[in-house]
Amino acid sequence: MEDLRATTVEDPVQRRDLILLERAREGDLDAFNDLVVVYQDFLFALVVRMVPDRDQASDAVQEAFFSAYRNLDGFRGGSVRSWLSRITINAAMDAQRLKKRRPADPYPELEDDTWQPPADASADPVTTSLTAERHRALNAAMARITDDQRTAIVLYDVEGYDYAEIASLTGVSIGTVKSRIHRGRLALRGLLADRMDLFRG
Amino acid sequence: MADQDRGSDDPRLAAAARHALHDEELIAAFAAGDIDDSAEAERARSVVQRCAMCRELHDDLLLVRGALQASGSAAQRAATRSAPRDFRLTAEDAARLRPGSPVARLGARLGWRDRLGVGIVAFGRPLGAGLATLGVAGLLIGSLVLSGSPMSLLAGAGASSAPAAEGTASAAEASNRAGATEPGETTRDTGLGVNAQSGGSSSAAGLLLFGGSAALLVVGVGLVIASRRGPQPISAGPGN
Repeated sequence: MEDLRATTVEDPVQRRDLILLERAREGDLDAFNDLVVVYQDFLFALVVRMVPDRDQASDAVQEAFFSAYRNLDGFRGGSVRSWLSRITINAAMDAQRLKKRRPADPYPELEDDTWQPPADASADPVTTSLTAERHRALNAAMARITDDQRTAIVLYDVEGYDYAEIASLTGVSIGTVKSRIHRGRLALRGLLADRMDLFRG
Repeated sequence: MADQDRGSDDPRLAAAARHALHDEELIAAFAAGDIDDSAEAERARSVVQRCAMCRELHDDLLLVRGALQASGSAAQRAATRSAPRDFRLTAEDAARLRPGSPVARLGARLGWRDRLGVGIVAFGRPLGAGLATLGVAGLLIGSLVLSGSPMSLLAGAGASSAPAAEGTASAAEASNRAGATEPGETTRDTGLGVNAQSGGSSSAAGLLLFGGSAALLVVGVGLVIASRRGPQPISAGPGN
């Protein structure tokens, strides 16, 4: 197995991650926990858009870190952040599958409502309020579309993955990814039909 | 007044009726710039130009997409908000997830446990069902053999009929000689000896078959249960 510390990486963040990962492979739990501390907020923020229930999102992130620790030897180089993201997205999809088995317990609406997009410093109170209201409406609608559509939309529109990456992550064809995104946007537009003025403003 | 309202509604109703015939997914694909076929793209463009409701849908979809893109990526959110709990692993978690002994570590590195789990999930059901079927069949045959079934009786009859025939022949021969006394007795004794011998070996074989089949049945049922409860590991592929 390749020693990751010997890999030439320019980016200091990636280099730090690789060193921590190599130490974790050698059995240094503190090194792995340093990686957890660095990425837990990011990964939770990623998952909570896909799994709007915060408890389930937390469980998915915890499972992802367990899986990452168990599969430390499966890391083949590259970006540790991408590797962890991939594992976490899989864990989030597992959580969604688990949720599907209990359809009587839908996602609560507006679960992750407290975060607002950063307002422009020069924005007036009306604009700030409008942005917040828009954000709330969008979150509520996102909680009501299907899991597959939400996952595809979050990964494409919000996180900026491309179609091929999403297809690889979710195990479906690129055509299916596109279809989920298109249908998801149509569903969002339908759910927001009465509030589209917020967005047109 | 009512007629006036109906008059003003009619064009809208007609437009809605026309719009209902239009393919909204085509408009969504067009809004996303995802139509590769130029003829399809032209059809979508034409519909958007002609139908006011399709045009509104197209514009709304662009607004929804823009709002999603502005809603904050995970990295942006993480910069201002913390996760609700600490996900660091405890020493117990670590010991459970990555076994400590050199042999276990080697096993974990080779991934034998995961592979076994995946193998059980993938093949356990058909393999287990096959083994269990063989086990049931073996038990049936074994029990028939042990209980002196037609099969074992047939086997016994087959073994004893030859000496009996020999006995009859030699008895006739003896009576012809008129000097021999009870030659059939000796022959009958010999016949019983063969019967007892073959009965002993068939019951041993039956016992062996019975035990082996029971073991097969247990293993088969166990495999089927294990494949149903099998772990569904979160894939941690390398693709970074």
